[in-house]
Amino acid sequence: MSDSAHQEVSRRGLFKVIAARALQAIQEYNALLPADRPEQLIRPPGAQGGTAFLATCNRCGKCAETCPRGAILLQGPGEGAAVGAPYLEPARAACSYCLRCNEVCPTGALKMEAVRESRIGTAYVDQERCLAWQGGMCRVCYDKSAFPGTCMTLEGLRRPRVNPELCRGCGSCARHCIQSVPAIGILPPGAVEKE
Amino acid sequence: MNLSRRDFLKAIAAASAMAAAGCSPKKQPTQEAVGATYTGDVDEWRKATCRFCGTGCGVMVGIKDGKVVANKGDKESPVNRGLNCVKGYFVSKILYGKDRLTKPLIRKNGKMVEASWEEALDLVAAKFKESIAAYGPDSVAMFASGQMYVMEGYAASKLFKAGIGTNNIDPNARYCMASAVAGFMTTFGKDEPMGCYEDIEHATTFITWGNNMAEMHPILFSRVTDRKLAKPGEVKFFDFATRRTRTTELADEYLEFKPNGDLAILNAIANVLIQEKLVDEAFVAKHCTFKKGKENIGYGLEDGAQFKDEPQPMSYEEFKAYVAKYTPEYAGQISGVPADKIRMVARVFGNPNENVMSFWTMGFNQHVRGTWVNNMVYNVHLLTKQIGRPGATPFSLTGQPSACGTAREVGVFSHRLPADMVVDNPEHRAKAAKIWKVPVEKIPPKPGLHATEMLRAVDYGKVKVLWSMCTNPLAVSPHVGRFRKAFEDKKAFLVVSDVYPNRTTELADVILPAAMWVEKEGMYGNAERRTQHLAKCMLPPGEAKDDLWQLIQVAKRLGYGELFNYPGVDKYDGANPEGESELKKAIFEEYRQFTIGMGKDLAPYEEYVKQRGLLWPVVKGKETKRRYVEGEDPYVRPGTGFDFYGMKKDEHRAAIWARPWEPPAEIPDQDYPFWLCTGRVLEHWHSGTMTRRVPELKKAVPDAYVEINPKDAQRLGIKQGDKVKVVSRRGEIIAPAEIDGRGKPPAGTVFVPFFDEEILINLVTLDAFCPISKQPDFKKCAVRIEKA
Repeated sequence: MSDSAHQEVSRRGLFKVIAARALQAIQEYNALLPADRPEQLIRPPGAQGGTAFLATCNRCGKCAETCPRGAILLQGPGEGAAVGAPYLEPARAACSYCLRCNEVCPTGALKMEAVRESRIGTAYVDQERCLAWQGGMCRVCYDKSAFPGTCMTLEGLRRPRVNPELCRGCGSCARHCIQSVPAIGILPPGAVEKE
Repeated sequence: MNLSRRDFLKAIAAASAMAAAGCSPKKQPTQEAVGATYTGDVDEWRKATCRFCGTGCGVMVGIKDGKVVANKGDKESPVNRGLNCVKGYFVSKILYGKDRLTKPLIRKNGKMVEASWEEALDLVAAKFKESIAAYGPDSVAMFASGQMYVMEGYAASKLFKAGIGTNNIDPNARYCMASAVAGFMTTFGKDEPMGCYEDIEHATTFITWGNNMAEMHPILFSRVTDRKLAKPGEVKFFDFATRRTRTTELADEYLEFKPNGDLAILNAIANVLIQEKLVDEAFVAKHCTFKKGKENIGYGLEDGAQFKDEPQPMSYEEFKAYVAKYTPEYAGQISGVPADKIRMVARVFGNPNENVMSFWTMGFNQHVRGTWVNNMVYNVHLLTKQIGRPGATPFSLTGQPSACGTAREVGVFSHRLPADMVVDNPEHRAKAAKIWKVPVEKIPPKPGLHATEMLRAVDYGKVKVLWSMCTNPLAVSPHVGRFRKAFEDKKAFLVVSDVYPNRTTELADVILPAAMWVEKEGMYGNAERRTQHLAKCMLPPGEAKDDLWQLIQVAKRLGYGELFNYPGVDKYDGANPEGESELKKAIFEEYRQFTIGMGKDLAPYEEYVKQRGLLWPVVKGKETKRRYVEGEDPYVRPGTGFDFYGMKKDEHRAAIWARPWEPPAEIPDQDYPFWLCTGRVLEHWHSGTMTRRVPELKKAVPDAYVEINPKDAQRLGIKQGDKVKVVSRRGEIIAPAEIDGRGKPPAGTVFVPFFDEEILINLVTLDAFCPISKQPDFKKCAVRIEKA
């Protein structure tokens, strides 16, 4: 027992050294990236846009540890410079905007000034896959959305529409879409609408 | 890098689809992959209808390598025009639940063990014979279903009434449509609605009476919604209800009434129409008659309760005097609906420029005065001639896919014969005996046990063998604890034909695994008199067999094989298609003989195979959209304009009934201060045996809950999701509290859906029923609420 505990400690110590080195490398690398590079992932609330977040996040993982819903995941190996950075899949576990992640963030990478002005993303209904938009009767997403009638509305009492002004991308609606392949996605703030 | 919304969603969709498909294109269809979301190729599409509610939506079923893989709304169906509700969207997934019953099971030493079909059928037949020999034919009974195909209901009815010689066969439709039937028969002399769904597109005012149409008949409600929203300000919608529902969201007026208050409201509307001279006097004088019946008629709570109404003729003046006491103020006092609103609704009825369409289902039918309230809604439609004109019609919606086609039209009730005939009429028995080729004495003249009494009779020892087919009586019956105990105490031998384990199979002595839906060919009849054919699309799993085959096999063993000596019968093994079409066509054609010339005329079998259903009566190849109307209904005598030809003894006049307000059977008091109402939700079908096995539907509404008013919740210290105990004089359940959910009951009322087999709310409900229709009232009893 004591042997393995000792081993743990020394292993952790080793990681700390490696992590510090890696962080330095990441920050240097991030600094080289163009500032307008859009985010592909949904970051926890209060994350600054673009590379600014990756540059300030020290990959400590405390946000993920503290998230009461277990909604914050960490990017794995193979993600290049972004390894260890937090992200969410709101359609799997929705964000409640409790901001505990902001409270524990040691670097200020997560720092939300006002919930009304900041968002982790925006929900988007894929009308080709949505049962209601296809003419059917289903409104589970609307009923389960954070503020039915506010962040999401029903067109013609049937078809869900996201209010992009008020949607904060929390994912409550998307998480409850009954389709095995959900008809609602959460788009990161940087995703641009083409076509 | 630029990531468009579309790219992003495509990536998510592709990843999820791969995961859902298990990344193996060669796999057999599984529940995850089939349904409306199936994206692979299909060998063939075949025509069917949805397996759930009474709307009768057309669905096309996609088959790949002999298996059902996909379904989609049938664009050619005039009912749903390609649309589906969330249940219909996933309907084919009900075929693939992991625990399908695939082998006959027999209880041996308390355990269910696999048996051969021979052994199981021999045992069922032996038990029937034993009981009949010892106690007579009325000691056996069948609990049938409005979800059986037309041919199955017909064969079951024939076996019991013309073979065994008992009228002890009654469907679960007794719980759902009996009051509607009694209402139609007493007012019009013919069962089922005169109008059709197309009336929705012509109506100017919709009224829902205790009816959450948005969840229970979603596709029809989508037509209502489209009609109303396309004409803003022109089309009105009034929702008379005992709680706020999704339906209320469309309403211009939400008119909340206290339980049984509907009786007073409808009489007050009739009274206002008379007082304000809004009655269509010419129509009433020519086409209506007035009647009254017995009053203070009880609630059928005693075992063996008997009741027979005694209709008396009445004059128009007497009717006016009868309803005079129901002033809007008096009705308002009883019901809680403001008097001026009652006047307003009456004036809409009385405006000849309006086309008023009333809808109702269980709120009226599951009602201790269900027959009366059905009569009363017809009263106001008849007084104002809001009937028989496109868009102007009372419309009794139906709960089950073939409550009309099978239970009602075939007459799978303990008092009925096909085509609106009844067992206690000697001419009707003679006609049935002739078609069935049995001596007329064979058909007993006395009505058998209705559904609730059938289960009571198990408890008091009169029914010794019960066969339940395609239904779940030991979950859905009122005061079900008593009946469950009777079977636990082995008071009767229970045979269950079903597709999944449920709360009835768990008490069975024999389980016969059944083929379901498109695993067999069949016919359903929906709420607008549309008879529809369903093609066989695949073989049933394992050793599961068609209910029709099961019935015939037992009939043969009981010595009634000759009743089913149809072409194809020897070739059909209950699973493979050999002989199946031949047999089913022959049964249908025999049944069709009952309908011809009775105002219920059905078309030849092949027509239904080809067409998207036809509205009966089908005369000379032409369907009938609106009955009783000259130019539309071939049964109407020329020159009459209107002809209520079902009322032969009343000079072809529809009856306007003088019925009083009377209170419910059990009213909240100090000990049990809350009203309990039960019902369905959009995502689940009845007792949930099928829909709770569809992952998407289960995810949407996993478990039952107790809807409670926020004020009551606050007072009792109950928060959202807290476990709540609902207790009545009969039993109790525990379920999480739902505050401000999709339904919003008023203070003093709770609502619990009945789809959840783990939360059996019928342990709590009361077996009071309408003494005329014998339909139980699942909508009102007194309960106490406690934090659990």
